[in-house]
Amino acid sequence: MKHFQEHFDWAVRIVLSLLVLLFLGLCVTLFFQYQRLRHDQMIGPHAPWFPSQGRGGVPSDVNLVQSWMTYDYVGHIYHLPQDYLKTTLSLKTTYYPRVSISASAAVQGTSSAALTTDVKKAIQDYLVSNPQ
Amino acid sequence: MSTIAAALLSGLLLYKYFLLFGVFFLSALALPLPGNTLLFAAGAFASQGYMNFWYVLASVLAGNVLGDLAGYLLAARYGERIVRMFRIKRSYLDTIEGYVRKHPRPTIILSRFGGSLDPAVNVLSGMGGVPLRIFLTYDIVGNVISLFLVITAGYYLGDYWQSFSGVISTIGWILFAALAIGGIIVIYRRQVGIKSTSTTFPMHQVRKFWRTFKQYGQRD
Repeated sequence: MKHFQEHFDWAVRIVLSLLVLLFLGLCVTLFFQYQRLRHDQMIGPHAPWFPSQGRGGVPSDVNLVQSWMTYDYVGHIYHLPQDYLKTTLSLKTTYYPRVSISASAAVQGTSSAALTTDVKKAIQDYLVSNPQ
Repeated sequence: MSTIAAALLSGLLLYKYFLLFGVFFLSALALPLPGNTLLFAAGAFASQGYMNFWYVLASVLAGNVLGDLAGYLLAARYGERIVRMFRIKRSYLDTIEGYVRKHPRPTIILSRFGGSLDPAVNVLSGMGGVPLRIFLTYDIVGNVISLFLVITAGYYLGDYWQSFSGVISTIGWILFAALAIGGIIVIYRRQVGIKSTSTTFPMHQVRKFWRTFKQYGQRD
């Protein structure tokens, strides 16, 4: 016990106190983030977790799509057919689907923001026409 | 999201575990890369079935531990030479090294949660002569706990990990600041000649105060 006390000096106590404070801060932050998601209706009041994943595990929110995502990944999370985005958006890139939206935007001669919007629209159309 | 983070996230989707290994190896060698964001994202990708949770943990752990080990061994081999080359004040370094040598276990484990503090502790452990066995054991323990926590957080947030990625970065910086402040306090206390082992708060201070109080009481 004495040996333990000798090693458990001021600096470690201060660091541990800060870690405890940090943990409390984290809990408060997570609580408010959770409330924000509830407010944005991303989380239902009675569902234990995100109900938007309830559509056979497919998220219904197309706004999750970002320009850094690859077509392979987007196709995986929205359960799209392999060449759906390539044919719908007339993509010219030879690396499809293992290429990011932003990288293929350069090949398409458009901005990554515009192509991301097109991808979102294509996914939305697919989800509407293929309800599960 | 920064350009580097976006590029690395694209890379993560393309090269998966190889990229995680590389990024965490380089992060352990003090390269400023957004490791926590990637780890958080990898956890979310695992929950979506795009990556495997245990492969993510294994690749990140391997990269981080090997990077830490490289930092430790390089510091043990070339540390003194670099200190002389850059004329770093030896007294400050001795103070920190002394602390790391005296308390290697909590220092190594806590620094694994401090992001940017991790490489500094590896170097100090190498230069301070912390035994390799102790360094490696506590490095692995600390890394398993800290990495597992972040991956699990990403895993449970799933599709909505992006809403929380800013929080994770902030936590990383707060942890870094907390540990850095702790380190500065240690240096300050050593520099002004206060030995930490002689100040086992609160009992030692309380006893000293009580003795002084009794002496004054007897005098009256």
